[in-house]
Amino acid sequence: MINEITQYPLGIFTTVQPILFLWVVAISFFITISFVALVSKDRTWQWLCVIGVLFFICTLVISLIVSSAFVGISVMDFEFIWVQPSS
Amino acid sequence: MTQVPAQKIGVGIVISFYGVMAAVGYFFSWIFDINPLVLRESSNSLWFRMLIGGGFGIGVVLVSALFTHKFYWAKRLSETLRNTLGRRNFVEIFFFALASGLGEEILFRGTLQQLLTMVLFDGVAANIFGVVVAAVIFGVLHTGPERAVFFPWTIFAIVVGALLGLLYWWTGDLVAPVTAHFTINFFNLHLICNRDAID
Repeated sequence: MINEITQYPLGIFTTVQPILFLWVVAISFFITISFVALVSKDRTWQWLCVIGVLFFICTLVISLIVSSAFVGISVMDFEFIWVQPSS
Repeated sequence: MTQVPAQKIGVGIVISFYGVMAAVGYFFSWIFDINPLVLRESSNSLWFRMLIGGGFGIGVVLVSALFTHKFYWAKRLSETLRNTLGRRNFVEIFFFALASGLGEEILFRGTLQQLLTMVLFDGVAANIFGVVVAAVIFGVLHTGPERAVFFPWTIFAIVVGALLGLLYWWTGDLVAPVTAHFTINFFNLHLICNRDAID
């Protein structure tokens, strides 16, 4: 029988700037509602919700990267480590 | 022939909508510990700020009336808005103007503009960034189903939004922008909804 060594990745947030992070969330929210207004023509509210959520996630990620670059402070950092469970 | 609107939007719905807008503004203000009503201690009297806001509002109303009189696109926009809103009485228009003036100014100038000045830039650049971006977001939300018809409204809202942002920055609180916004909406809604009665 083969003795398998199972390892799994674990993501750990090493740095979080709560105010900066919330700021990016707030601005992404406003950009999202503007975008949804722009693409709202002939779309049902269900479609608009899906578009809104997807656009919000994309904007949030891009905004985090851009604002980190602008401000020079890492808004949010996380690292992966490999964990081997004890048998 | 004027179209009859399918269903008139009631005062209650409008007040609730702008109430939610103000609540969203207050929610973000609470998170960031800012006061949306006051940017800084104002050196001008309350009457002066109201007068400045009212005067600015009257100026914008005159410009929009001139545009509606002179340009086809403005006339078409006015007719489309009238078909959407239907005929309105004095009390309805008063509450529409008051609710929209308060709700939109608390969210866009009081909260969003202040938030935008907080992080990316310092000093005058931060204020200009806040005024411009808040005005663009405010303008983009002033849209409608027929893009070609509503496009001038979007541009108009961006320009007026930027000027209201400058008023907020200059006077230091929301009194002047709210008074201006109320004046613009109150008189323009009269002109749009009851124009044939005025003509």
